[in-house]
Amino acid sequence: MIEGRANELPDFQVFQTVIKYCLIIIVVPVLSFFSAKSVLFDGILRLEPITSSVYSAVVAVVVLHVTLGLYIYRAYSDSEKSERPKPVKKD
Amino acid sequence: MSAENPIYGPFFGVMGAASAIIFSALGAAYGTAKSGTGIAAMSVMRPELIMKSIIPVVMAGIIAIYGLVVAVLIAGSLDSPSNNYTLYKGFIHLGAGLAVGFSGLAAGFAIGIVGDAGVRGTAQQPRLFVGMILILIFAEVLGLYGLIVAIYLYTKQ
Repeated sequence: MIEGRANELPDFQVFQTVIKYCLIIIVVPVLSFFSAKSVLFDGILRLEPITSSVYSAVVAVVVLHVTLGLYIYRAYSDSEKSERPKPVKKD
Repeated sequence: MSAENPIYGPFFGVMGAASAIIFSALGAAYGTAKSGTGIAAMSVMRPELIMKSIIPVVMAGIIAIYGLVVAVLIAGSLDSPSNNYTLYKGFIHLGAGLAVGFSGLAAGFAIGIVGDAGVRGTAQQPRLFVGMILILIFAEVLGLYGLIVAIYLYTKQ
């Protein structure tokens, strides 16, 4: 069915966007926790183990909220775009 | 083994690490499931709103990440009593784990119920979306308070 095919493309784009943002939200904070701990706080600044853990936890939580904010912004701006009134077809 | 660091000292720390992730995951699971039923019911009629309505699920997932962070912190400083793991440290770790765990449980419940009602309502009236996001953020912040208290407790040793 051609009409159905035509409708599938935006669905796939939505799926791609959601998967991309979900992976970012899950992976990036965990990566930032361990990379900030091992590279920045333990490697460069040479802090105590407890202090470096706490600072990298704070970094991870901040990064988490930034990515969540990006997702909310994207969802909000996307739907604003798509909710423009479409021309209504009348017979 | 002295009175300061007895053999059962790490038990409290281990229970703290476990309860941090267990109760946070419980709250996050409830939030995901409750708002997921709302999304499933709403998407039948308004499938273009799925992207917007995933937000409660993502926020419930963040609650579990709070618990994960504290559990990893506690597990990183667990040790055997002979390596100077005092009973006081065990109590601190138990308190930190319970703080983030039960705050996460409460926040997950709030996110689930608000997400369910908010997602169903957004399908009828799109302007509700801003209100839903605000209420979700205030529910999420409850878990963040627990995380802050847990990290503050964790540094006291």
